[in-house]
Amino acid sequence: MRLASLLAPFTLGSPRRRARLLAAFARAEHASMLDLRLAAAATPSPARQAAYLSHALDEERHARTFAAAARENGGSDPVLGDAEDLFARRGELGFLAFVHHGESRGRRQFAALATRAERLGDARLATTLTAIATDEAQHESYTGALLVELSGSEAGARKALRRARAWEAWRTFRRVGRAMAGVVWTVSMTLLYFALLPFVLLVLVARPARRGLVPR
Amino acid sequence: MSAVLGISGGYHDAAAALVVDGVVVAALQEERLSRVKNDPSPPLRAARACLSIGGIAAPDRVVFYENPYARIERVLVSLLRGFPRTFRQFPRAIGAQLGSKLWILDDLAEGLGVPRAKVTFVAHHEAHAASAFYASPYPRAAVLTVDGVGEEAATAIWHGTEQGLREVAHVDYPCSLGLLYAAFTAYLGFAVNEGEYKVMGLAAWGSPRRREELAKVVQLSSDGGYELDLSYFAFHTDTELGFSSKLEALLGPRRPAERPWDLETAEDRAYADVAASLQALLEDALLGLARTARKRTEEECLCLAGGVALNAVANARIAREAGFSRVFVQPAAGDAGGALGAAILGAMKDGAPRPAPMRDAALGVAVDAGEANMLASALGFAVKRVDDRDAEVAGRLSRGEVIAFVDGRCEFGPRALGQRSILADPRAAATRERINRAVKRREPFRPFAPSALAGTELRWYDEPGDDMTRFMTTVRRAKDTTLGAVTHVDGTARLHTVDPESRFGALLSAVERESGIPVVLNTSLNGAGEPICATAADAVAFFAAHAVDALVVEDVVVTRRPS
Ligand SMILES: [Fe+2]
Ligand SMILES: [Fe+2]
Ligand SMILES: [Fe+2]
Repeated sequence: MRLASLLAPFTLGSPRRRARLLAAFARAEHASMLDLRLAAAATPSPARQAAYLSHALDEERHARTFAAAARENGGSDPVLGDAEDLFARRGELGFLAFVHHGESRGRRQFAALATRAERLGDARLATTLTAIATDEAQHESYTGALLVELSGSEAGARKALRRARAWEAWRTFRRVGRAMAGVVWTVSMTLLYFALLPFVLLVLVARPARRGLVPR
Repeated sequence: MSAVLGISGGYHDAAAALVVDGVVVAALQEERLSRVKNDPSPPLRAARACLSIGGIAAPDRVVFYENPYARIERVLVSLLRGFPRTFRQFPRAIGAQLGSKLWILDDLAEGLGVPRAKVTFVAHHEAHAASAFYASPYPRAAVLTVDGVGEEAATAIWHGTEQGLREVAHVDYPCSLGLLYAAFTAYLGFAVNEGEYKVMGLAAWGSPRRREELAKVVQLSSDGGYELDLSYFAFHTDTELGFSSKLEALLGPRRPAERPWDLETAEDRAYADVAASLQALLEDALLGLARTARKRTEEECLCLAGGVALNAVANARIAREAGFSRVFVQPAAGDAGGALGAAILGAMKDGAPRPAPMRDAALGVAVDAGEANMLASALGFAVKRVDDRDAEVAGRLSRGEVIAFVDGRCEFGPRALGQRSILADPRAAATRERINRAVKRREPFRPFAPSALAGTELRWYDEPGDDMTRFMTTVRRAKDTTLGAVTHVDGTARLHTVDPESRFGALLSAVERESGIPVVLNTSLNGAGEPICATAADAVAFFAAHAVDALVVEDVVVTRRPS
């Protein structure tokens, strides 16, 4: 990914930035592991259940590797990611398209960062990123094959991928909207808070805190 | 027929429980299915799993474990009381309440496909009290519920009789023993709602030399009540941090979370002393409450629930010193148990009889051994079916193997009680290090527990088992160091006594035939930071990711192929 290699000097520049980026990767890998576990529990096909479970194990390993690397760079334990339950929300085909798309992006991003880390003289991080990028390539290829199988044709797979990309763009739009609404909410609620001063006096008089053991 | 579904959630460990005609059919935490530790989100997966276990299409009634409207009022009132220091907390707290918590009953109705009119609620501490009293074997009892906070109460004393539960007295938020413990958990550098066990384990390494100073932080009164000096705390004004700078001025700076523990250093031993002093303070407060409960109700038996009742060391002291002849603790003492209490209260209100006493905690989803077989084979492991599973496990344990063991339905509550366990020989202390390295990555001060065949425990421990050892909610003192892997630094063990008639009891008998002692090391089947395994897929994934020697799922034995 071109953007990742352009940003690499900034994101890998200092140990602190490095730790933050690695922790973000750990979180994303953990979230992806959770979604795959839920997919494994939901798919009707035993073969795909095994495939998703094995894939989830890779992502769990990636999450652990990134978390350890974040700690080595001085970060604390990363916050764990959350599942989106894409299987339940988008169906198995939609889920696969989304995963395939994400794997492809992850592979390119990790490969670009590996090159960058190499140049910055961090051979260890470069090796880690390259190994993970190799896993992502394998995930990309098996989900690609499953996409064709499940949709019945190459064209069907492409269509599912287009939809996944459109849905992702829509999700980003909503996230930005939510973040903006959050700012508006915080500002207006803070204003409201100070307007509540008369009620503060009322509460202190009418609802003083009861202390100690209160008999019924 | 009447099917009542109890639901807890919104803050921590969400759960569902199903009572059909007065029988507890199923109870399950959402985290076991969502795989998100302590998952607080509305437990729709767990609810659907409970209904499917009971063969129920739609419940006749859904009962939420607290009054969401009273909770919102308390949040608002306490934000106003804290004016102006609560201004940073206000937008987020109000946003959370109005954005999701206010609509929880509607969300449950929609998510479960039940008419809104059939979704009701009970009070938070009443749900805790019911989860303990109606699951206990006692016809009458005093009941003590102690947690962080429900709607407004943080502690309550109840009287349980044939007529039902009656509240005797309560202590309101912000004076909360749960939030006191949480604040110290954060002070000691552990994650709140997760690291509380670590604080209890750490306490054994210290001495309560700071107990006097903590008397400034919490005052105990002669009527059994207690009061927090809020100037040492911040949970009521700040969502980020439970304690104030005044607590650091009193006890020294907080411990940085990322530093590895080393109890050889004076610095970390000082933190262990803080933990020990907190433990002593908590025990004193709980003893005062329990003695008051005894005096006010004049009952011989005591039931405990609420998150604070997960403190097994304090429970042992209450049993010894509060004057009761028997004590029972709801094994899912935290908010998960509220789902069970809510379901039982709803069912009894609809005319169902009081349920039979809880005999085990295997109330969750059953494991599918065939699925474990298929998945393990697909992942390239060696798989075989055995005729005598118990002999196979006993043989492996005697050879020093560490085994992931899965049998029947998963446990309700935070303890592994022989359905989803890691098992090992309890004698060699080195086993503990091995499990820590391979699986748990725990701090050195967290002990592993012994499971012993009931009736044999006096060979190793000072007192016989009771209503609590059945569910691993208390501790016993070891007579010697024979069982080195399961004895804590202070000589105690969180003993689990196992009914010889149960399936796990049969396994322990097989272990005795093999090794001469009917005891195993038993710790929960989960990796660091993960929920306990529920399904076959969870167990196979656990085995793939952790260096244990074998996975046994009922009669299926999974091992690694020699490379
Ligand atoms: Fe990955
Ligand atoms: Fe991947
Ligand atoms: Fe509670």
